[in-house]
Amino acid sequence: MPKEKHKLLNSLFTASVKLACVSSHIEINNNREARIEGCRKILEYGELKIKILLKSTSVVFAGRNLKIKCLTSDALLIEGFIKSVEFFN
Amino acid sequence: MLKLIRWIFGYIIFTIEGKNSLNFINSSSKSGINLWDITKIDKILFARSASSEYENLLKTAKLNNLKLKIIERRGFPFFCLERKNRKGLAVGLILFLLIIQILSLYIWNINVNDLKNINKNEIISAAEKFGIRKGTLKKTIDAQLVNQKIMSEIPDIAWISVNIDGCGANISVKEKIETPEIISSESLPRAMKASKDGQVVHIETYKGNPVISAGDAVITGQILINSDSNIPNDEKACADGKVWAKTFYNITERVSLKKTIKEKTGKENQIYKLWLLGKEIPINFWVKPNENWEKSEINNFFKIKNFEIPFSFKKEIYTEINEVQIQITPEEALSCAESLAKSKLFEEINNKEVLSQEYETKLENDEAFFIIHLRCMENIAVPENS
Repeated sequence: MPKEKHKLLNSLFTASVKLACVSSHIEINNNREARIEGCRKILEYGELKIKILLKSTSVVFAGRNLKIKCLTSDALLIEGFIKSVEFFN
Repeated sequence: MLKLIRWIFGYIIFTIEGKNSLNFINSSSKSGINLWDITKIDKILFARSASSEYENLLKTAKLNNLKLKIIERRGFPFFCLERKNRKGLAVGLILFLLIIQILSLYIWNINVNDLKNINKNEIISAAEKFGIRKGTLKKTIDAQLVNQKIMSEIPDIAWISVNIDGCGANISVKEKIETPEIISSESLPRAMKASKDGQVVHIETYKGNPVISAGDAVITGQILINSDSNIPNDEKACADGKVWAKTFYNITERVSLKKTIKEKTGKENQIYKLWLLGKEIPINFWVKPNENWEKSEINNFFKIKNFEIPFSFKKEIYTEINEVQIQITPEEALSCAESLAKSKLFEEINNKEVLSQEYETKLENDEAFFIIHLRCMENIAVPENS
């Protein structure tokens, strides 16, 4: 019985870790700032459009005067006037 | 805060030129290099990164066949590097920090809270007497001991607290509330005597027996009210009361017709001094040749929002004076004597009822006299032992 319980707990833990790996987190402040956690790659970068590949999808921020204010290994901060946010699978 | 940290550690502003500039961003972020303020103008990518990441950035750029060019180096390490040959600046900075550190060890100013009956200067001078003055080393001050000493020096203080706050000594004082004096029969005098010559008008006897009656003329020192006991050497025997009498005063003021005035010759000398933590440092020297020079001082204290800085600029002005004798008119002398006599009159009629006053003027031996004859009504009874 304890062995089965241990197996169950272990599988639950692995599933939650996998879920965390595939999910990304986007936080938008007004239309001026967006924080993206869990990004894998920048696909396109310009003043009017920034396209980012996330863990399970990709997102496009369109607007004007867009720029990457800060970039780390898995997160980035976009600043500018954001007009639209579009997701692609 | 983040900006300050970046400035302290130093950062570079660089450009990336080439076709795969996006690859550069992705590979640098994957290899853990933090980038910020990434902007793209035409095909050139502008970004900023910590100066310590420069080599990694260069490697990444080479891997992606891109050209990395540093535009600007910013931050404290580069600031120092640019000024490494300017040793004076470093010495100045060290001196500045040293002076600030040294000055912070001393008392710059002394503050006393608002008081009703005690003069602030009295507290400050007492504090100075017991070791708290401008320029005192803070660690030598024993606040508790100074509290006790000031309290014993000034009896009107109920409570005192000396607090050293930064470079200031704040003295908080609470004044004593005066308690009414309780008069016991033992403290009363054995007899009341006359303090002045006069004619008695009426007598108010509280204790004892009056030995004079209304209308009597009395002279200074005469017994007016005697003790109420007939037993000789009675310790409980006492006298108290008021004796109202008509008294006479003559106030005379004289002014000479020859007046000595001080006249400036026009010669002037100035001495400048620096005042730092209670010590004066002369900037220029000049020795007063004789006593005919009058001194006046101008002190310029520097303040920042009511906080006095322990540094001031003092200017001493010496002006040469010549004493000249002039002749004034009798009218001028008389008016001068009158004003002097009248100012004396105000002091004289303290607690007295003025019944009449007459003026008399005369000129004698180059002197103008102004005399005021005053008739008053006052209490002339004073304790015998006073």
